[in-house]
Amino acid sequence: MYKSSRDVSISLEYLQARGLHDRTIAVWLNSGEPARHSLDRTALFGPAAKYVSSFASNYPCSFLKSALVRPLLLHLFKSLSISSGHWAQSSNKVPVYDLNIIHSLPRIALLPQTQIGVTPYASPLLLIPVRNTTPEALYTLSKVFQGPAKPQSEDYSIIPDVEASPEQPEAAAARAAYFMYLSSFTHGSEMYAYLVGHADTTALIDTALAAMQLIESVTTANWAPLPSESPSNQEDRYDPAHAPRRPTALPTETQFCSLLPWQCNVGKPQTGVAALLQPEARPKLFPWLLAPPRFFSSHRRGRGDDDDPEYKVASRKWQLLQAFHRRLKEAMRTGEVDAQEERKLLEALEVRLREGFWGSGTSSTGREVATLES
Amino acid sequence: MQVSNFTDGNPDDAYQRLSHHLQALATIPGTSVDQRLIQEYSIFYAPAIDDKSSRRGLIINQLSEALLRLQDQDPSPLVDLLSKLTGPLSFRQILSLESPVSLETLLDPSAEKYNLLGLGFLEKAAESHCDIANLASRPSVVMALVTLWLTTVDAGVATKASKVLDRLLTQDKELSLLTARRIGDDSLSRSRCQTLMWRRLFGDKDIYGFILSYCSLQGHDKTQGGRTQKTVAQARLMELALRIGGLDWSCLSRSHHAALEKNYGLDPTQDGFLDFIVSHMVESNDDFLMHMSLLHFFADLISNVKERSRQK
Repeated sequence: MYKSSRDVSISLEYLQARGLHDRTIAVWLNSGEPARHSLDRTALFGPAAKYVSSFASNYPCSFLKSALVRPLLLHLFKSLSISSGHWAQSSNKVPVYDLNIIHSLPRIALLPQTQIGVTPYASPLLLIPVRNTTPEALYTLSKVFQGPAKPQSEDYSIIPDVEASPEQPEAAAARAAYFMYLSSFTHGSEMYAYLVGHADTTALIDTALAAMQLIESVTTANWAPLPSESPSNQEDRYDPAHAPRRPTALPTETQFCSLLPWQCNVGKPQTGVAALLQPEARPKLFPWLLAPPRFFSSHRRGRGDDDDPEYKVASRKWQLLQAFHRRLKEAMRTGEVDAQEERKLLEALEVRLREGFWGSGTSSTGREVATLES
Repeated sequence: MQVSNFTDGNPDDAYQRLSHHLQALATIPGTSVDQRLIQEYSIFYAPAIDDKSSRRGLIINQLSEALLRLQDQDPSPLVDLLSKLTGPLSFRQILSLESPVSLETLLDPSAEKYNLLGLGFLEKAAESHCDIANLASRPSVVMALVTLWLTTVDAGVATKASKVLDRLLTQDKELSLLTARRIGDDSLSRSRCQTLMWRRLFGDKDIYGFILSYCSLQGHDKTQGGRTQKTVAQARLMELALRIGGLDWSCLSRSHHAALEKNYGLDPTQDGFLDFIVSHMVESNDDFLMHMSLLHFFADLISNVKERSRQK
């Protein structure tokens, strides 16, 4: 799958030849116990983590073939195992650099190493919380679930001799990562309950915006199906009996489902927008999405003032509404979702859109006096 | 306070007033700069000067004379006007101005208020291959540019100097490639295809040697201030090195003057300029800030230079 040969460059080769590549990575791998290190050393962890991110994101094939994968995952398991109290307070124990690394990795490395629930360490992604969380954590999830950027057909900067890009397997891994993450909740709907809760809490505006970004990322995600059968080449085959599996092998749909804790029906949604229409997401998401903005402070200086956090949140929600509507319409046309079944929802969205940003006024909290907008 | 009537004025009258004032500045000591007069000319009349007349050149000369005689006063209004007037001129035209103020003077790090103007002039050279070659053939000007880039304490000037160097090097390469394609393999014209700016920067012992010596911690000024300035210069070098690596990896990674490089601990059989930056500029275990910059440099290097190796 990841057979692209553009996985080295002269610059990387230079650093590898001089031992600087390994030494830099070692700085980050050894950053696990800050107490042991001098102050000078700890200052290097951030830049070293940036190097690891750059390496993994620019040279995914090289990364996946290297001996770095396993120690990297072990390091992430350790650094992300912090209590929910720490997450909630955004304490300095939250490993911001390691979150960056997670979304720089080829997504295939984030897929379960073992069956979920059998050991706590199936994938570092599962250690990222959605309930007591930070904006960076939510953005990391957004980027992973979004999938790879679609290649622009007008991008003339693409080198002509580049081989098949790893976009397909990445898109498939993004979808798998989403369902893996969803399945880690006792009830799938918890995830959306928490997200909507964040999105509604204007007091913590950064988390609210991040939660909405996550929902939008799923809406517009670039996903692809997992392979339906194992490849003929033994090397490329995913083999759950031998953990850790070779990180370049994607599981088939059946194999993947067998790793998840609950009964996995054949025909999991293929696209993000379809996933949002499922019973896990639907009952939490749409009542919130269709509700007009609520404003609580009656002594605000300027309605619609750019700096007003309530306005910012309402504005982001409006964008999300529009994005979802666009995507749903497209999905109904292409058959990704059942057009008949979703007709009512589409109409409800359109009614809300016609009302305009502020809503129809009758559904306000009652504190707003209706005035003529000049 | 004189009430301004320039907005309705006659350009010729305005010119007379300006000329008179500039002459006074140049010849009568103790004359103070009439900021308002100069600014108003700069805004209302300078953009509309007819290029068929010799007015532009005359004012530029007068401005230069006035600037030379200006002692403790702030030269900014005159420099601004000079900048406006020279804006539409090409590099060649700038060189041909009979101005007593040389490019090297403008680029001197102590002449802070003139640096940006001087850099603006050099930037114009990037527009044609001939101009770049012309500039490259003036070692003292290139040396002044490199010195300003590494030693100035003003971050804005350093950024601009870095951009100018980047542009000159980029254009030098691009334009020479274009010429090579157009002309073909004509040996007569092959000299036109050479990247003279690159040769000046890396082939000139004085300039290359200066870069090594100023950026190396060896024999450095042991005061805190001296060390900080070094770290800043090293960071500037690393930034430009990224661009150089993207344009010509071989130039960045190979050795240019083995005898000089040996002084900084480089092994002549295998080390090159990049090794100086990466291993020999810094005293390891000493300056962790520099280590941070280096690690950032490595990350940027592999992100920006994705060229595949040609060997194997």
